[in-house]
Amino acid sequence: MNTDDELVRRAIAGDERAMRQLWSLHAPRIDALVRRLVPDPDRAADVAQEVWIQIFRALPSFRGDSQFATWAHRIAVNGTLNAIRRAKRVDFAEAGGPVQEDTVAVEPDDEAPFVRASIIEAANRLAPGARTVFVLHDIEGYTHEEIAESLGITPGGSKSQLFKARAKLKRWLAHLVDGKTRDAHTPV
Amino acid sequence: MHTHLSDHLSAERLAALADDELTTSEAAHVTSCPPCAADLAAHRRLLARAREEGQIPSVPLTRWETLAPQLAAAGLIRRRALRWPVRIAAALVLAAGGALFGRYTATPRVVAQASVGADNIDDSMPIFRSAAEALATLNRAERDYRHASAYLVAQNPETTVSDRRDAYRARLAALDEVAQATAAGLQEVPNDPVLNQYYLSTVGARNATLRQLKGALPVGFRLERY
Repeated sequence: MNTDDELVRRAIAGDERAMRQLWSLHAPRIDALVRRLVPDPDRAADVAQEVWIQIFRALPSFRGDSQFATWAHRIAVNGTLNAIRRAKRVDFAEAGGPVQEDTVAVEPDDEAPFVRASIIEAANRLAPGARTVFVLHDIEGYTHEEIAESLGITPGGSKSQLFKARAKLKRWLAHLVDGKTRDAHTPV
Repeated sequence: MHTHLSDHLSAERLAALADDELTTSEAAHVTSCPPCAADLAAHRRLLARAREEGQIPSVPLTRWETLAPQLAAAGLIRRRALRWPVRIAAALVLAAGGALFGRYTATPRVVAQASVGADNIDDSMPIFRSAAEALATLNRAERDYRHASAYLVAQNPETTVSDRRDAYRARLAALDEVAQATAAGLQEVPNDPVLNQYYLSTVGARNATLRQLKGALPVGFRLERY
């Protein structure tokens, strides 16, 4: 039995110390996910709290078939998406939405941390549905099938939103990710 | 088919190819088309950085001190039942504290009446002229209560060192709960004098009990957890 399994067993019994330890071990990743999906910091803090209550409430259903981290992450994804739906009534099936077409105001820099921060900043400017698919697929590593199930869309719809999101991000962050300056490229 | 330089790959197809395999014709085109090759490389760099971001944890948005009371309210945290001596002690502390706070929070009219009828009041009943005076009395009472409790425990011939250690541990567990509950309350009403006083008293009592527990440990033992 690994550490998480033992902690889960005690947490199900209501042991606060075990619950606190689980939270302490997994909050950095779970809360990071919420922060990426909910750009507003105050709202993100509220959602993260709701998510943790959902995780502990669902603990008795954890069968140990997967890692606790994976199981909790999935609950966090669904909990966050539900919170977003409740708050903003986002129609995830809709691909488009108003976005600002100007480039993201960042200084040229090759440093990876700076590029990562710029990606998050730019992703926050995508339409909510596109941002959600981009975060879940390209950052969190979920498959299109998993995303489609969570969002109630088809895998094809998930792919379509992702590719549009990537294309926009690449355009906005061209000065950071383009290898060299070159003439305009007009795709067909 | 993308066999001519003029048939560039679409923006969305290039985005898809960040983690998808090129067809033979696409590969042939990209090999001979520097703009498409550059776009594809940019997409792959973007994806690589996004994947890195997913591996980076962040400072938690949540605080256990805020989360725990909600989990307790939802019945997910089960508090251990206190042993009866601790319950009695807690009841005594709360009763004494409540009585004193009752006086502290009484309206001026009540205090004035008490002053007028002072001749008829038992000499042991304190009459306060200010909040500071009441708080000073409360702090003295709390300190006296702690010392008296420690003295009684120490004088009880039936109380072994092991019993005392158990009592200290049980008290610490109870005080932790009180401190947590009052701290949670103070987040809602930070300036509430009653909650503030209970919180400070509890933290003070907790520190004193920790010292007592350390004193009850065998020589050479260090207290790392209780």
